[in-house]
Amino acid sequence: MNVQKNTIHISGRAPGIKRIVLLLYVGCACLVTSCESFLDQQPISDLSSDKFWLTADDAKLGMAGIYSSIQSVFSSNYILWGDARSDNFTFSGTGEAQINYSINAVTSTMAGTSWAEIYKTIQRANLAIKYLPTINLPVAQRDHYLAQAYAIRAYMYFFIIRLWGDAPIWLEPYENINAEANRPRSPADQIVQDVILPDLRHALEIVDPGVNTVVEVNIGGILAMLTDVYMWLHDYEGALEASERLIGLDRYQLANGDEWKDMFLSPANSRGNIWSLSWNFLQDGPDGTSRQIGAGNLDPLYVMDPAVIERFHNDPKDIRTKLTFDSLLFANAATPNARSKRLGKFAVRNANGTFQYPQTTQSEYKLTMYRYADVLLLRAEALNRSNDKPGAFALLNEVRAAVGLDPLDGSEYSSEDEVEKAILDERQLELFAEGRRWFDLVRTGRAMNVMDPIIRERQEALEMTVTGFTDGRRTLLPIHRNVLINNPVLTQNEPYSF
Amino acid sequence: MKPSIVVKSSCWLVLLYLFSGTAWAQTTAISGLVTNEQRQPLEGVTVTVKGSATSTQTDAKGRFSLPFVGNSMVLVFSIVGFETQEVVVKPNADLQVTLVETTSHLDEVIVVGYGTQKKRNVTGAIVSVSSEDIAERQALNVFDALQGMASGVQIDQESGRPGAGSSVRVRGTATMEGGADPLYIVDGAQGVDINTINPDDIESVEILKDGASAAIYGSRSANGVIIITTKRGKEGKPQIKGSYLNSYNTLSHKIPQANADQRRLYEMKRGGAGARTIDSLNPAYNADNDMQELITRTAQRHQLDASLAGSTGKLNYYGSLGYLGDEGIILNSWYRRVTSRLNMDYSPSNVFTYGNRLSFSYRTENRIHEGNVLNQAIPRPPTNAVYFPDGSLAPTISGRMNPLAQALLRKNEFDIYDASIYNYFRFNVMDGLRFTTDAIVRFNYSHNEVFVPKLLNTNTGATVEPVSNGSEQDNMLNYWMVQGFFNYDKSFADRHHFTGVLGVSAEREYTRRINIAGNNWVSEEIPTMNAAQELILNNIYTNGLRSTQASLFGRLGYNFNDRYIFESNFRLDGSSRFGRDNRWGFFPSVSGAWRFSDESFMQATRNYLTDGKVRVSYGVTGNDRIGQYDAIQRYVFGSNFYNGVSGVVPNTLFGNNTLGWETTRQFNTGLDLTFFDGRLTVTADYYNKTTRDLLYNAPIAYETGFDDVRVNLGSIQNRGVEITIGGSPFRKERFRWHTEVNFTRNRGRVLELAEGTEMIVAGIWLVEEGQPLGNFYGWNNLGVYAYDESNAWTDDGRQLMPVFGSDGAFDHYILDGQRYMGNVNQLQTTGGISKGGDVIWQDVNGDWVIDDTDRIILGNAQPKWMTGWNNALSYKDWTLSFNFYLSYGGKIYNQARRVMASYTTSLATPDPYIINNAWWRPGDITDVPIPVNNGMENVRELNSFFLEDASFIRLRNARLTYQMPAQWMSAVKFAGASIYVYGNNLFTWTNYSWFDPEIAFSNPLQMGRDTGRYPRRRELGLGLNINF
Repeated sequence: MNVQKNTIHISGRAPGIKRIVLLLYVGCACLVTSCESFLDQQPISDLSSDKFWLTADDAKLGMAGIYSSIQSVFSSNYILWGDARSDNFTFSGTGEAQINYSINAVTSTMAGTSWAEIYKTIQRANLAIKYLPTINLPVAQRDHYLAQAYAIRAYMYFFIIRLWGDAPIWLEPYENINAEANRPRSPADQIVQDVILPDLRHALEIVDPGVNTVVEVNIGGILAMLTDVYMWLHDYEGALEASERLIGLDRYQLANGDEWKDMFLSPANSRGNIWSLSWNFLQDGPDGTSRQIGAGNLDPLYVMDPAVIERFHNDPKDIRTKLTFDSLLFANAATPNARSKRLGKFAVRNANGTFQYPQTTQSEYKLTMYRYADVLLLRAEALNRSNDKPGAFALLNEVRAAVGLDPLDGSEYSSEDEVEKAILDERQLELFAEGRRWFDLVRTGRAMNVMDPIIRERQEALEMTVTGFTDGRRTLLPIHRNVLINNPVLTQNEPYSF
Repeated sequence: MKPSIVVKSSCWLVLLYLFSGTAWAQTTAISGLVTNEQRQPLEGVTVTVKGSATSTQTDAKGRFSLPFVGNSMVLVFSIVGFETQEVVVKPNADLQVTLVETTSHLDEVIVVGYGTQKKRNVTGAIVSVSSEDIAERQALNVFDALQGMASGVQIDQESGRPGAGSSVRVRGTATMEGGADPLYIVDGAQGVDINTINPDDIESVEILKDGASAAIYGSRSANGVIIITTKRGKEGKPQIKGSYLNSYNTLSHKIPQANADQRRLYEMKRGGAGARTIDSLNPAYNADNDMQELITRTAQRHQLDASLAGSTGKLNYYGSLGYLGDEGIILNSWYRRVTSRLNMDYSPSNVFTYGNRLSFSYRTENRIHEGNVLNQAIPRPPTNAVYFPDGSLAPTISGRMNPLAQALLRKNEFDIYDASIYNYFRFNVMDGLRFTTDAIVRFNYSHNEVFVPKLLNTNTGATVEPVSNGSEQDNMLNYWMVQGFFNYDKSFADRHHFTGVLGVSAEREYTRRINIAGNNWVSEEIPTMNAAQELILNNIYTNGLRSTQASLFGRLGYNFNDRYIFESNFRLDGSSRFGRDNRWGFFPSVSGAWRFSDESFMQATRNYLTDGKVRVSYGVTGNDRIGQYDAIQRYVFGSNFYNGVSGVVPNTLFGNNTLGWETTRQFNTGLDLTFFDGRLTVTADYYNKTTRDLLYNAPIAYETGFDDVRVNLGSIQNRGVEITIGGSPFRKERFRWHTEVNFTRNRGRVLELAEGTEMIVAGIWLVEEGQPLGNFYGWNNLGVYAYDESNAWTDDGRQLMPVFGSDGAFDHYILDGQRYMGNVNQLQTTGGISKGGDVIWQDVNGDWVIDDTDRIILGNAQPKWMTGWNNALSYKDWTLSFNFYLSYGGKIYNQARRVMASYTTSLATPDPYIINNAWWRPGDITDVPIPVNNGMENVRELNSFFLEDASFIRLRNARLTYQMPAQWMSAVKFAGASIYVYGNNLFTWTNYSWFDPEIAFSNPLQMGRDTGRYPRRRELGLGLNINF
């Protein structure tokens, strides 16, 4: 684009009109030809899409991108989805959102009701699934990456169907502006049968069984997911088979005594962990979980329900109590204020046993995704429902023994439902604040029965109109308003409003 | 017989008169001094003896002399820009003639794109503001200088922060997210930072409002074009000017804030203990602070300007230096600016001219964190301590920051260096044809340093050790543009006048940024980043952006005898920001004007209608203000780490490779009338503009993994009327009054949206087809239930009145004085059935459940009309100028007030009205709900309770100037001097309850929300101008 050069050497002497016309003509020609390249500006500090997914390094970086979005998914939702609506927590302070979660009156504008981050993870997995095969990589390496992408995609859909039910299915990345972006919701059953189970089974086929990195999905994680999904489907046979394979890996064992705490502080050093999220606030930003259950600088939004505190205190031999929260503070203070009710499960504990709650801006709670105890207790449930009560109790007592508790006597529990309750009670304490309790209640059909009286009690204390759980359909969350706005063909879950 | 005698005798008389005149003429001369009203000598004034050919011109000192002829004679003084004056003189007189500037600006020349034009021949809608108009205002910046001066131009300051920007809207808002600010052209060049311009350097400002005038600037001109021309030297000996002003600024409007007693009443009504707890050692309970008093001050502004200007015929020069030191009314906020300029034009021959415009500036600012200071100060419980007994500043107390500590200790400093270098060469190729080539290079470097010491991160009761944190950011911007264009201007046969422009341009803008953030400073004495012990990796990044544009443009004008005027512009623009297939845009325009007052049939009105012209124009303009790479699918990295690996992920904005131009088509018709030689002028315009293919960040289904995509979607229409009436009711030599009223009325509506679907923006605004932008959408608040039983309605929605028995228990309902026995309905929200103290919401759909479907449009943010009234009165050596600004209609969402009164946290203290009137016990009749969070969402967003009328009248500024008498001046060898007192933002009449009803319209989709901005100040000052 050198228009100036073409015209600038006109001197003080007037040139002829012809010359001017010629120069102008050159100028115009220049505009439409060489200007095209002048106008092609490529990003300076980002990559245009044709320059990624080319090398082995790209595969690794793309996979890190997927895991990074998993951090975003759970940073502020870990507690909201799996615990806030259950009998584990109640609200602290006067915040409207906390109250509404605690009485299961979630509305479509509240945090935790959007699936946007989940789909972001799914689409990153879709990109990996599409482009990994195009990269020149050793097959085993490529397949192991692919196995993770498939498993993560399944895991994300598993959260979607449990939280919202029906949902759109995307198995390939969205890459063309002219393609239809608005897809309607497909039935949850179809998602399970067509996506989650096939993805997990395929992942299991191609995963490298030798890899054992706890901060990533490995063969153990895939088997744990399968167990979890089968339990959700009440397919006990499938759950038993998957969990048996997991036990057969001979890789995991229950954490004993104070090692129990290691699962939350240094997951890589504990054989009780199957999959935990890595977290380093300097790189990943702070983990939002501390803001909700216990940070050093702010009051928690959710505090332990008094009934659970009592259950933790029931058996002084339970080593989990003092590792989960500051039981001394709770026991001594006549009216403990909110801050003293912080949960220390993921926080560092110093030599004299007090928790070091992090600043919200520096929190790096290493959220557990799957633990060995979780799978064993799920298996116990499956055994119970498969007429193997002794087997169930054996596993249940194995978990209890690891934390210093006496075994339960199976003969005191007559019905399958009672045994199941015993297992769920154990899960509640063992997996407290690990995003399990609410799904346990829903999976076993107990959510409404357990929560209705608690909600009534809370509403009464708040001087609100006492309505209770009101509607069984409220086990699902409403879909966030922005999600509905962005995709007009979606419909809201009944009985929620737009 | 008779007639011939008369004729003969009169001829003789005339001959005798003429003869006697010459015969008895003495050799005496008359001389005199001609000055303007400011007593400055006027050079080049033509002095003619009436009735003869004798004439002369005044010299550089304004003096003239003529031989005296006869007993008395009449001299005629004339010069362009001044009213012609006749003076009867006697022999040997030494005259003092003061010429008065013409009120009619018809002969003025104004600047249009790539050239100038006689103001009287303008075919589009152009407003011109002169340096004199600007000087009356003690403007801080260009925006300040223009507010209220031009119809159709709405300028609102973002806040009262020193150095704060303004939103400028020319003829309404015609875009959603494409950027709504006008294009600025400074001395013919684009890309100059408008904040670096010293208003004192401005010679004139032209605002091109209609599409036809702006179209020559094509792709960036859809929001109007503002052309700023800086000063040049004037013919004559060098002029040195100096000026100084000093002003005192105070908070213009203090808002009601609860005191400690009211806070305790609030606690009582809430039922919490809080501040009512007796604990003499607790820093949260024992103070009674007036936070507005504590964080504000009387701030000073100093401004010092000096300039030198002159011309030697071949060389024309203007140089200036300016300093502005401006303190904010909030403690520790300040802004300082140094500007310098050198304008030079050199013409060694009549063929060739070289010139430059060099400007350099340095700005530095400490920007107060409004969220941590102001938005914390207002809701903070007054009982919370600010200082501890030992005199140290208190930290954050139970979650409420200490605003004073935040203001004093938080550092957020900006240093901005800007250099703009513009050069041009101009050749007169042949008679009427001129070629100009120019280039501008602009370099801008800015540095921002943030440091937050430990104390500000300290929270009482926290168990963790607080850490300091901070960041440093460097920004570099480089912009260049080169242009080359021909101007043609020639008249044939004295009546056919042709003009033309044809040229090309190319430009590039390039920015780089480096950001570093860290924690835990080694020493709080050193705020720089090297003192950080810990670097926050996901907040350390660099980025670069580059965009280019290439253009071809032209104009063709034809003017017949100044009576029929025609003009056509075009521009062809290519921009790197758009998709490859849509990157070229063509922007044509046509316009015409007819001076009907020159027609012979208008002869009869010529005595009072001096000039009359109608104008019609139609033009297409564009908008390209979007991200540099919105059309490219990108992968990003740097903040997606996992397990030590920097993850690479798709950008959340989907790259749209089909992205193209947003275009605005504007029709304009106007009328210019000048009566009584300029004593009364009227300019009226009507416009209708439609913007299509709006650049919009459309939401995309989240299931795609993306958040949004930049698209061309929908259209917006703006129609409006602008009227400016100017007049000089008094034009005597001693007393003069010039007054001008401008009026603007704009109506905008959305014509088309994507698939016709309405959008709710941020849960507050509804954008739908057929409606204007800025519609507030929410629930209508009808009051508060006095009793639980007050929530009782007949089937047709009439409220029943409960009647209580002597024991106080509810007995029955009455309706219209009759006992009501029918069906009783109750309203409920998601939190349950409404009770006493809960808000009565309008049940729009009549289903007895208040939910999202009960939202309605509650009002619109945009004013219905605006008026500016500018005045200048002078009596002898005194001049008084003042102007009013009126904005009528429109609503403000007082979000800051809602945040305080939302009851969601006990830490926020509402204003006294809320506290005093909050529902407390059954039977309380009030409009303020029960002050607790009972799950009923009584303070939901958005509800009509927090919408307020935004109308206001403001005495924006007033200035009284005294021009020092000439004899004083000669004593101290000054050419002239004046002193003045002035005030800005003196009075405001409004019903708006918060700091200020003037609110910026920065985001077209989110207009009229007051989040608690830095309050505006009232300024009183004194100034001095000296000409050497």
